[in-house]
Amino acid sequence: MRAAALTATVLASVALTSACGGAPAAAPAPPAAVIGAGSDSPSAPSGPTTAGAAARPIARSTPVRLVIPDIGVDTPVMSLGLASDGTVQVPPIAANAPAGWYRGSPTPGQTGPSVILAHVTVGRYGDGVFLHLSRLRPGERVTVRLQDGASAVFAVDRVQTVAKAQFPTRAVYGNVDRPELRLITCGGPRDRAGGGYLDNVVVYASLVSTAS
Amino acid sequence: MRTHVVAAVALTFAAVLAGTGPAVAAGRSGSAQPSAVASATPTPGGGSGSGQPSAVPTATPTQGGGSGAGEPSAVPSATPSAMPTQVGAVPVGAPDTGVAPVAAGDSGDGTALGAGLGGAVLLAGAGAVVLRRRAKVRG
Repeated sequence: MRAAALTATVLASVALTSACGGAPAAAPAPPAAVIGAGSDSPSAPSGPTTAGAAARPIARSTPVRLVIPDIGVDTPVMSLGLASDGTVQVPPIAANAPAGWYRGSPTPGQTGPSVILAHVTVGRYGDGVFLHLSRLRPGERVTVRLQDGASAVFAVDRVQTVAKAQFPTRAVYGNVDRPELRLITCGGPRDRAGGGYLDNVVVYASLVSTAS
Repeated sequence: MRTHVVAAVALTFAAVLAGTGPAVAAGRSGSAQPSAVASATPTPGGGSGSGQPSAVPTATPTQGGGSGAGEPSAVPSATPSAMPTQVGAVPVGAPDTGVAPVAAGDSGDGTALGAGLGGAVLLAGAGAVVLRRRAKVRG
């Protein structure tokens, strides 16, 4: 009988252990990485693109669609502004959330850094538009379709994964001497407490051709 | 002997109650933000902090860095105020463009399922104890 009681106690212990799961540990933080040529200097030209000479700027028109065949992106583009605290707005946390163009930046195809942001993951809604942004490699193409019917095709110059605490503000938003594109999302390891991402992934691209 | 049985049953109920606790606690709201656009999280040191357009990077000529004091610098002096910024208002901090996916282990359903299975195992064990005791008494 004592053996039976002992058995029940062991079973209780096993059940308690199975009911109390531990929190998953965050992966160790990898160092920041840059793929491709270029530097973090504020507005230094990104250097010659892998695609050859840069194309001429085109007329101002807001972007309406973003296509990146190499990572399976084909999404509408919404307009984003600044939040009250001075941070850039981001697309909504919703299913099929689109990419967003920061309207404080030049439109794609104009001289300057045009900035487009999208989520890497969208919580319970699953994958974000820029889930595989970090997989882009120099030379791969990014097409932005504009409201006036024109298209601007960019070639990736470099891909940078950097800690949010060291976000390269000047490299992203600083002046440049030709039409360029910045694609931004989150990445890297996640915070142990809140589960948020600790890094940003930034893609630097430059205009290589246009079509109207 | 009855004391052992009573103790086993009490332990069973205690375990079941303890197992249901995390299931309730894990039921986080997890509500999505209804707003069309969410704001990013400012990051210390991530931006200029002023919200104003950043000045054109200044190519600061070194002074006194060489032997030729008084000689004109080879680096042309920058004129940050003359060149308009291409980005009208530089955002502060790093964009918060990712909400971590909800893992299966984080869901309240998974915890509740584990607690339920644990409770079932405990009840089965307690029942086996009682049946064995009765059989022993009769035999």
